[in-house]
Amino acid sequence: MMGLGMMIGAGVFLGMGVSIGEAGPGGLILTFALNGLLAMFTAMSFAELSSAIPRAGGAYNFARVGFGRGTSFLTGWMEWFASSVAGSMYALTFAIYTVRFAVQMHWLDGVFRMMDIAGDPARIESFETIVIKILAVLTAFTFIYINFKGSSETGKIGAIITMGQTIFVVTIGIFGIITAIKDPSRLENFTPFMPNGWSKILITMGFTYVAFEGYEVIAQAGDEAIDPRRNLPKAMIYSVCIVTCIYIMVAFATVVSVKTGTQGVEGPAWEFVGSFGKTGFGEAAKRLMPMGNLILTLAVIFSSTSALNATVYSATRASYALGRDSMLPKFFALIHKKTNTPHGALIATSGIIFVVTTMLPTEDVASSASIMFLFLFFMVNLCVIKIRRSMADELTYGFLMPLFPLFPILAIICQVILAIWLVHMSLIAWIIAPIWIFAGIAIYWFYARSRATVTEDEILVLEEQKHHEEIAPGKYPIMVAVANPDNASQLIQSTFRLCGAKDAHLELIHMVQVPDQVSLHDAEKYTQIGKEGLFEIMLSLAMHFPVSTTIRYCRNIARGIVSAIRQKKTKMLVLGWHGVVDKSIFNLGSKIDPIIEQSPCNVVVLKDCGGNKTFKNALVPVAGGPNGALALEIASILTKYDEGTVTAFSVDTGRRPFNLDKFIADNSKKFDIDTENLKTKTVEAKSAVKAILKEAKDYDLIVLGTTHKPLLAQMGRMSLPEKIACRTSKPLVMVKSSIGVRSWIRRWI
Amino acid sequence: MDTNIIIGIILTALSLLAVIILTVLNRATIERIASEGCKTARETLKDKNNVK
Repeated sequence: MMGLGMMIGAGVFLGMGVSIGEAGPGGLILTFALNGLLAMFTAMSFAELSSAIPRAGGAYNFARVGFGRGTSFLTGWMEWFASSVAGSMYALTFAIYTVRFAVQMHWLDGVFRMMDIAGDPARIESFETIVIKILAVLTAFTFIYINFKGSSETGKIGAIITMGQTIFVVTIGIFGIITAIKDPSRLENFTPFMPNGWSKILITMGFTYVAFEGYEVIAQAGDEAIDPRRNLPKAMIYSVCIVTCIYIMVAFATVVSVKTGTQGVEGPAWEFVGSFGKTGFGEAAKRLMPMGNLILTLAVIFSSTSALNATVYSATRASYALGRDSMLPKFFALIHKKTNTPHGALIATSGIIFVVTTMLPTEDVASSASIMFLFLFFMVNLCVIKIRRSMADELTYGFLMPLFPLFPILAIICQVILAIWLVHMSLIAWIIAPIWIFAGIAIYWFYARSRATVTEDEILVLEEQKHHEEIAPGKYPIMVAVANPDNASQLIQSTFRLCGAKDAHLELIHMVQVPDQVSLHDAEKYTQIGKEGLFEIMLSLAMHFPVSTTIRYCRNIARGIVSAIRQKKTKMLVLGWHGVVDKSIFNLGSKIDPIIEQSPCNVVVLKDCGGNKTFKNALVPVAGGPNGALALEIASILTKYDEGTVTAFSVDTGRRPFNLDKFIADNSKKFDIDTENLKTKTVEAKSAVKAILKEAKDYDLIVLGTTHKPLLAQMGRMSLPEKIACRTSKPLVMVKSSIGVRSWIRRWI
Repeated sequence: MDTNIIIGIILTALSLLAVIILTVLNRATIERIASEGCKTARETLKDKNNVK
C-alpha cells in the first residue's frame, strides 16, 4: 500500500502536462510504458536484495553489505536527499492543484479584491506562487508531524489515502477509454504521434522517473513486514505492474481528453494540454468528465499527501540509519521516548524539505528528485550484482531474478542515459545533484570514515606485519592463502618456484572465519592455528623473498580473500585444495568455487603438490583460451627446477577444431611459456575426460586451466577441468587467468 | 498509417507485455522459493539446474 501510495503521487500529475508538451501524444504514452519497464528492472533488484537483506535502511543497507562504508554512506546520503526532495515535490503538487481549484471556483476572488490585485494577471500569479509555497510548507509540516506521531498512525492514514487516490486515478483512466469509444474521432489526437522527435522521450522519461520510485519505500520498511522474504518482493513487483497499467491508462485519457475545434482548443490537442505545463493534466481531466475538476483535485489531494507521507518516512529512515551507524552526528539517531520515532532525523529532513520547497521552481524540484533517484537506483543495481556474486553462499534469498545479471545491467545503462539527458530539462538539477554528492563525499572523508561503527558483514584486519618496508617497484605481488600448518607445508615448494620465476613480493594471508553465533570481538581465539601456518611458510620463504603477513577475520573466507586481493592489488593468488569434493552445492568446495569465480587476479590452486616432490613431466590439457595458456606457463615454471618437460595435450572429439601448435605459437611470448621443453600431443577420442585421465597415468603432475563460465551459468554443473580434478589422484594444479574485461570488472564490482 | 504510430503501438504493447510477463514470472519464482524454503543463491540455482 505504501509503495503504491508513493508511486501514484505528484510525479504523474506534474509529469502528464509537461511530458505531453515536450514529447507529444505518442511520446506521453511511451514515456510511461518504457519507464514502467525500466522501473520493473530496478524493482527486481530491490526485490532480490530486500528478500536477502530484509532490514530497515533500504538502499543504504544494501550498499553497506555489498560495498562497505564509503559507498553505503554515499547511497544513504543520496537516498535521504532524493526522498526529501520528492517530499517537497509532492507538497508543491498538492498546493498547486489546490490553489488552482480554489481559483477556478472563484474562492480567492475576495482575497484578490482585498489586496487590490484583481484584474492584474501578473500580480495574481505572483500572489498565487506565494500562496502555493506557504500551503506546500504547511502540508509538509503536517505530514512531518504525522510521522512524528508514529508508524501505526502513519500506516492507517496511508492505507486510506492510497485506496482513495487509486480509485480516483483509475476513474480518470476509465473515463478516457469510454470517451474514446463514444467518440473515436478523438483518436486523431494521436496524429502527429511524435511531433518533436523521438529523442524527447529520453527527457520526459527522466523527468517522470520519480513517479515510479515507490518500491524504494517498501525496502525501507524491511523489518516491519510480515514474512519479509516473500512479501517485500511481491509488494514491489505488484506495485510497479499496477502503476504501469494505471499510468498508461491515464496518459491515454490525457491525450483524448480534449477535441480539436472545441471551445478554446484551436491547435492540436496535445499542444493545448501541454501549454498548461504542470497543470496540464488538470485541464485534461476538467474537460474529460463531469466534475472533472473536483475529482482531479481530490485525486491530487489524496495521492500527493500519500506520497508525501511515504517520502517523509523514507527520508527519515535513511538519515536515521546514517546516524545509527555513527556516519552522521548522534542527533540523527535520537529516538523520541514517547512516540518511539527518530525525531532528530525528522527535524533534519524537514529542514531539507523546507529549503527545497521554498527556494526552487517546481520543475527543478521534480528534476532534482528524478536525477537523485536515478543515481540511487544505479547504485542499487550495482549492489545486486555485487552481492549475488560475492555473497551467494552467505545470504538466504526469498527471490532470485531470472536471467541475472541482464536486467540490472540494462537498468544501469538506461539510468545513465536518462540522467544525462535530464540536463535538457533542468540545468539546476544537474548543479544541485553533484553539489550534494560532493558534499557527501567530503562529509564521509572528514567525519564519517573514522567514526562509522563496524557491522557484522565487514572484513577487518586483526594483525598486519610487514617484514620488508614497501613493495619494491617491479615486484610481482603474489598472495598465498594459508589455512593451517599442514596446508602451509603443501604450499611451500610450489610457492617458492612461482615466486622465484616471477621475482615476487609475497603476501601471506590467514583468514579467520568466525561462526555467526560468536561475536567478532572474540575472533582472536581462532587465530592460533593460522599463526602457526604462517610461521611455517615464513621459515622457508622469508630469507628468499620480501614477505608480508596479514591475519583478518570475517564471516566468509572466500569473500575475505577476494576482498584482500582487491585491496592489496595482488596479481596472483596461490592456495591449496584438500581434494575432498563437496558435492552438495559446490563443485570443488565451498571456498575454492567462489574464489575461482570471483578473484580478479590469476589463481593457482594446488592439490597434493607439497613434500619435496619432483615434477619431471607435466601434462597440460589444453582446449584454447587464456586459462590454458596460463596453465602452460605455470607448468613450465614448476617443472623447470627439476629440468622436466611439459606436454600440451589436446583431445580431438570431432566437435570443435583446435590447432594446438598455433595456440602455443600465439601465446608463448604473452604467457612466458618455455617452448624448449614443451611437447605437444593430440589424440582422437569421444570423451575428453576419459582420454585425459588415461593419459595422466604416465605423468607426475597435471596442470589444468579452469573453464570460463558465462555469468549466467556460474552455479551450474561441473566443468571438464573440475571433473578431472575430482577424479585424478595425481598432484594437480588448477589455474585461472585474470586477462580480459571480465577480470577488470571483477576488480571493481 | 504513420510509421511512428505503428512503432509506438508496438513498443507500448511490448513494454506492457514485458512488465506483465515479468510480474507473473517473478511471482512464480517467489512462491516456488517460499514453498521449498529459502536457501542461499547457490543452493537455489543448483536445485534449479538439477531439476532441469
